Amino acid sequence: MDSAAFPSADEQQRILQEASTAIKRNAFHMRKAIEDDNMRDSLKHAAAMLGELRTSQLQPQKYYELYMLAFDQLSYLESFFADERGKGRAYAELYELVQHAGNVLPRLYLMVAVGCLYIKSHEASPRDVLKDLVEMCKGVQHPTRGLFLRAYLCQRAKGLLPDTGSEFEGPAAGSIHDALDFLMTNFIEMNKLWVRLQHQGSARDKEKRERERQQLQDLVGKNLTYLSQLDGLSFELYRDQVLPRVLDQITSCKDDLAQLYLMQALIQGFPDRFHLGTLESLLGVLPQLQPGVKVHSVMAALMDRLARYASSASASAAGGGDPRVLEELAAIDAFTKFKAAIAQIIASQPNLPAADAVEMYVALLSYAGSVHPGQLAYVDEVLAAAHAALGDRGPGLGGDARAERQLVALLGVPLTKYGVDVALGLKEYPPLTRLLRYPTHKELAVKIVQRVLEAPPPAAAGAAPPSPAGAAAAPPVSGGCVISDVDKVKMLFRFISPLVADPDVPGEAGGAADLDDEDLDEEQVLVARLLHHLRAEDPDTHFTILSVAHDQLLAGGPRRLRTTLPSLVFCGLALHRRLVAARAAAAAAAGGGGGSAAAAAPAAGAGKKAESKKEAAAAKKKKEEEDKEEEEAKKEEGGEEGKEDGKAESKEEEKAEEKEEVPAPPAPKEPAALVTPPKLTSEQLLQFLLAAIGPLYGGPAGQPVTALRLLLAAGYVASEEARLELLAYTFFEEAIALYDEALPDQRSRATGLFDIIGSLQRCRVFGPEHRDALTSAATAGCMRLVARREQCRALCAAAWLWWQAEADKAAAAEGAGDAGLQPPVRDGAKVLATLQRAAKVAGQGKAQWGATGRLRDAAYIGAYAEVIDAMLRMWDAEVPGIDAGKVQALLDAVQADIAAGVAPDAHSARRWASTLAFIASQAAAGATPAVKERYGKLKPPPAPAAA
Amino acid sequence: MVLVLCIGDLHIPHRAPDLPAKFKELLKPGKIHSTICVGNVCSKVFLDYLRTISGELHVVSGDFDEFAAPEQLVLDIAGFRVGVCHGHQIVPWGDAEAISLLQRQMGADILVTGNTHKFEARKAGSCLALNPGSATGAFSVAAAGTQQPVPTPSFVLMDLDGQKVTVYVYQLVDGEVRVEKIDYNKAA
Repeated sequence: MDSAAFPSADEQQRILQEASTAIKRNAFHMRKAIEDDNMRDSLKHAAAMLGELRTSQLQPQKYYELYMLAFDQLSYLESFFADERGKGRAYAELYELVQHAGNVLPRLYLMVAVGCLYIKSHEASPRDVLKDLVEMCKGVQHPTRGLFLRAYLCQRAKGLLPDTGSEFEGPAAGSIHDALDFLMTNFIEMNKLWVRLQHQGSARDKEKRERERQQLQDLVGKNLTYLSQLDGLSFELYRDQVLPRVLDQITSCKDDLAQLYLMQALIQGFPDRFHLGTLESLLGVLPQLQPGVKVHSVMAALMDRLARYASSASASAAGGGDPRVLEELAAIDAFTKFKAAIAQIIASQPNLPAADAVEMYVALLSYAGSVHPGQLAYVDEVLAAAHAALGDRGPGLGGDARAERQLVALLGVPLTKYGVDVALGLKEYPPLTRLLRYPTHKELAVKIVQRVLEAPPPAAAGAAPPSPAGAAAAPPVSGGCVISDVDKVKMLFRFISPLVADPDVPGEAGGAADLDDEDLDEEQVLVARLLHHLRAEDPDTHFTILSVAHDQLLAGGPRRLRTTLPSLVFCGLALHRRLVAARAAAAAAAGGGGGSAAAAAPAAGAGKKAESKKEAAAAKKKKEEEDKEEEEAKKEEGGEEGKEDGKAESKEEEKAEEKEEVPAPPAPKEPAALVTPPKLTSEQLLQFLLAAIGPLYGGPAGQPVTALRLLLAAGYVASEEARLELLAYTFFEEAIALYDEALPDQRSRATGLFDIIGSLQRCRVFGPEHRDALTSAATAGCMRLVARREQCRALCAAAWLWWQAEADKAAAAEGAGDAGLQPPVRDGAKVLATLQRAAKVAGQGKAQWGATGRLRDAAYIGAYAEVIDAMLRMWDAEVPGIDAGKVQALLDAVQADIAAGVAPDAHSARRWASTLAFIASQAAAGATPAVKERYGKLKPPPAPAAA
Repeated sequence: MVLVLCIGDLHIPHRAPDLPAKFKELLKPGKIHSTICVGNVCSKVFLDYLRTISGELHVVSGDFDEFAAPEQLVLDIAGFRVGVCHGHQIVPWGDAEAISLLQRQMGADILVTGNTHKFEARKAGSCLALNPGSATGAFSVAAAGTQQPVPTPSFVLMDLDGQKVTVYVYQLVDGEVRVEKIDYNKAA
């Protein structure tokens, strides 16, 4: 019978129709008999109606429809029975009477109906009747029929159990134990029937049948729900009576569907507190489940449930919640139990998909986060356990994409929960990332970098342990977080290793060799941006961080360096600026606030003039004020005393700074901890940068144009900030060598030369010897440009090399001053000579035009205009030796040519016209009378007819 | 009236990791007609970003740019001749006279330059010389040894209306955006 196939769907529909009609017909007669007060006929028709439920031709779903039809009609019968009792008929008699029904199934339904009323009337002992009913129902062993009969029993008996405190409790009526026994027995019997249901019907559509069977799961689960709702169910009863029997049923039924459902029902149905006390039993049963059961989801559900319990308990602790929950969880060491259980499940189920294994660790991680917030050791343990469990599945988890996605999700949890900075304390993180394929790990790495660049501070920051460095630099204005601990920086490079290095495994895809320049650049721009987020307030630590980063970048190979090195160099230059400020601050503190100028130029003490009396007096006055303030400050700070050594010094330094900062706009504040000057020197840092730029000169990382600019920037800083002449000279020397040898085209040579001139023009560290060497090299460079017009322009710019701005006296008095610098170069003769050389080049242009007669060669007029413009500016700057005569001579020369019929190209003509217009306007409406008078001395030619 | 964004010297990734978040909020596409960039964007990603702000992007190349762009541009916008040049070519750096000369040579009513990482708006004769500063407050080489070594992030919006130029300067000071308004009239 069990294995017989059901009829076809149409046939079942027909059977259902017929049965329904029969039920309705019998119900009609039953109700009529009730109206007639005819007990015998009522029972006869009721039995006939219920007899329709005896069919075994219907699938559970169809059977359910039939059941509901009959169920509705039974209520008429029940109220009839109640009426009959009112007329003096005892339930005992009725209970007797219904047992005469001929068939088992109708008889049992009627017995349940009457039996429950019997209990309700308190005429019978609930214990006896319930026991009777639950045992009698064993007579129906057909899965569908039995299941629904017992569902009816359970549903009717629900409110009639001798639960503790209920009206049905009593010495004769029974106790909670009887209520438990009833529900447990019914549950076990129903589960057996439910499990057997799978063998009904043909073997073909097993999947469909399992789906149908699943729809009936709540019929079985109801018993557990009612169990959990019993007032008398104490934890001890649950632990000793309920759980062992339920678990035994779960394991012994050996059915995938039932095991999964019942485990979930158990976990969701009973209170968290109960699970807490029986965790071991729950976990112990997991490995015994069928291999097809999704143990991981059971496991995850259990951990999630307890994690929620813990977090809700701790959240409501303030508002009268239970603060002991966390303690309890810690006391039973639930974390370790979970971890061990997961490991055991993975070990006992060799076919468990890796993704499912990872899912359990995700749940464990979230559990750890709720129950042990902020305790990274737990996170590390989870990661280590995950690695131990998955490590042998091979690279990329054996190519299991779903598992890889899960693993990425797992690895994402610490980042979002704690923020990257804190997550970098996780030693077990990098090994676990190694299980990802290189491209997947790279995607994760990109996300990590983006989090550093953009993420708002982590929400859980309050719970996170403070960074051990304690000297985190202020975050950049663009947002994101700063990594300021050397070890964390090292760790970060391991976290994001696919962005900074090729795959370890030769031949694995995704390395630099697989990307074209543009894609690689895009990727490396992220790393380059990241470098700005790796820094510490303390210059020594910052330098160590940069050195670590440099080593990492070098290991990543030349093609990555192209994009990342320039950022590293600028990070170094920015550090240099802070280093100088820190040294100045430290020296100011040591010297009582007066000696900042000397400190700013650590390597150039020789040129330092004695402090003026005025300065000394100012310093003294300042000191007095400080002392006064310090006293007040001491009162305020009180408790903080003695926290660090050298407190007095540090305070003095703070005060000195505050003083200095008053007039200045809010500059970044130096921390009080910088009492001792940094160990790092300008030389060290600049030498580091000089070496760092090297690979960009040429070869596979070659970026000569960028290298030239970096050298000039560093050279300028070496001159104006570090005031180290020889190092500055080296940077410029290298830059000029690059200009001579490595620049690829005329345009980059021309702009490169202007950059050399522009930087050099403002440098004041060079003594005459070095300066001459560099300026002559730059001037010679002008002549190596090919176009005469370019040569001319470059020479006009180079003329400024001999005319530096006057030293800014105000700045010198306040800040670093001129210590270690040469006085500004202001050599009129050299300026004039250079401009005359430019004029000569323009003259050579004229000769060339004479030879070719080409229109484009007439552009020499423009070159002349260039020289005249430059000369006018020098004249305005009152450079000795430049006078009206020199300007007039050039004007006349050009005018003569134009008068002689030279027709320059449009651009040159416009340029010439603009020069003439300028002279005229200055003579007519110059800003000062002096300017008017000066320009009035010139006799400009009439404005050209065709401009 | 025509709204023109002047921005430059981002130096991303060389000297700064990103634009200030508060600037990004302000630079949402829609209101601005055209964008003038004085160069030193330094990465393609951010050049593309600038393109998204308005319909047209006029960009010159700075000393650290690798993309192809002219050194100088003269634009006609709303009746103004607007010259654009990064300015690292100007010797001495940032010299007012040198900038005037360039303005004269270009015949520009408004000359927009960068390089100094310091906002500046200066009237010279009938012309306006404008420097939007560095949008990221990037490290400035030229600031070595000066009293203000850390540049303030800034950019400029120009409202060109007939004869009138209104310059709005956006500066990020202590994490807050500060806006200043400066009026100029084109000489009759």
